[in-house]
Amino acid sequence: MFFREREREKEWAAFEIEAMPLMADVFRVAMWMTRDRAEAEDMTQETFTQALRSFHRYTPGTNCRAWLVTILYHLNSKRRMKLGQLKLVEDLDEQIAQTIAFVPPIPQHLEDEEIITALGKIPSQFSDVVILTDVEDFSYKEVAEFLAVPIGTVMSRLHRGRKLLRQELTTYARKTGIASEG
Amino acid sequence: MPAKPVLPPKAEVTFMNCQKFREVIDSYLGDELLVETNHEVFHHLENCAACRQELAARRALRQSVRLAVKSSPEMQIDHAFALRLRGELSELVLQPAIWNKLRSAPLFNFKLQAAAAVSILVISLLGGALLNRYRASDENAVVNNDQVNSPVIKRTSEELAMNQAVQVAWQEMAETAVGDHENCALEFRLAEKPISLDEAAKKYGTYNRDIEKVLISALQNKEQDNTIEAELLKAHFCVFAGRRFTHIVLRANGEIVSVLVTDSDLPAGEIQTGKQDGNLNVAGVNIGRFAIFAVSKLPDNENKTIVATVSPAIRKHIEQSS
Repeated sequence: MFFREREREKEWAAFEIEAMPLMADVFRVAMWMTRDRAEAEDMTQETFTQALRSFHRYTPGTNCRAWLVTILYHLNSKRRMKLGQLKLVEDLDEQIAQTIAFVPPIPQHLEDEEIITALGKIPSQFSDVVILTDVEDFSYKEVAEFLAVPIGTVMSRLHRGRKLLRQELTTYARKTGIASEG
Repeated sequence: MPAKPVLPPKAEVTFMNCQKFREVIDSYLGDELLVETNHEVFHHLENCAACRQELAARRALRQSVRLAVKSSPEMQIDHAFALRLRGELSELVLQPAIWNKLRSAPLFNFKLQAAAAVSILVISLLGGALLNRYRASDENAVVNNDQVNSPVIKRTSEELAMNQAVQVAWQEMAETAVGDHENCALEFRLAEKPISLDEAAKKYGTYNRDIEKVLISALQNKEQDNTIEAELLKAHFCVFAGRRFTHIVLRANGEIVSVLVTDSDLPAGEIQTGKQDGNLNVAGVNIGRFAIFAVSKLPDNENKTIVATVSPAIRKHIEQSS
């Protein structure tokens, strides 16, 4: 009994060192995913509970952040399935790609809020990849695993996501008269 | 004298053209290219000013997106939530019955588990008499909680853990309020520019509009016993350490005082006071969905008087605004 208790304490200590400092990162991804604080907190809570439950399967020193985000995405797909929101988006990818005729110049002097608003206007399958790679610094391989799609799809969504973002920002800059580069 | 080597013309050593560069630019930015391809990119960039400019622009945009998302107040975790979750997780590990259940159960319904814990907290806070009787009957009683997928929760230790978590969350919130006073009222060192209360009323809650007037009027109310001489210095909405504050800066009894109103999901309670480094005192109270703090160099009792004076008026103003 004593040994079991020590084992649990040891595991908790390791979890505190490896996983707990990443709570804010996981929350940020969840927040982007749900766009709702209460839901993001629920998702973060469920992710950490699942992670704690499976922590004996985690290899210390490997990428704990990616492991946690994998759990988060897994929970999210279950949640969306329950809500009946899961849909195939490949065709939409192509349709949207067709509408982007050129790479617009990047406007300068944009406020954070304008960037967030522009990101919010992009379909989530593209903005999610931009967030995961450009903001959260996950590799293509990791993002492919989170989203359960091939690496090629991650690459094309990232390319299109960045292009759509530029387009949104340029539209905004034109409206407000912000100077652009190039 | 050996003959000079003949260098190929520039066009021949540029292995990658602009079109090819634009195809790999995203992967280059993400550090996803093979070493060999990276060399080709370097070589192309050395010789192509337009692509260098394009790369710099994309890198700048990437950086802006990163900063915008990471510093956005919307994206920051709430400290009280983080502390509460940490407390709940440590409880799960340290209670053998729950831990064994957690490891063996095919599906652990944490939401319901958390709901049970919160219910227990509410019961412990509000149902004093009932709970005391329950405790007296069996100090180590267990709660049969089949409905929440967690059959055994030791009530007393759960309560203690939750109360401790509430206390820690409260302390964390008070420290953040003091930090905001130091970094916004005394010397401006915030990463983000504060916004006006009118703007905050549109974005974060209508109660922000005219809240400073309500506060000053409460302090200057001559019907109360302890009238405080207060002069409004500034009022705005700011963010410190991820927490949003409605921030009203006053000069009261000769000292600069910050009155801070912030979201709170902690239970309502009595006014608490505390001391921070640098001779700053803080008094605060939870009034339901919000907490109100007064931070200044004034003695504890004066900060407490400010909080006691303004909190009923602020609570009424919030209720009327919603």
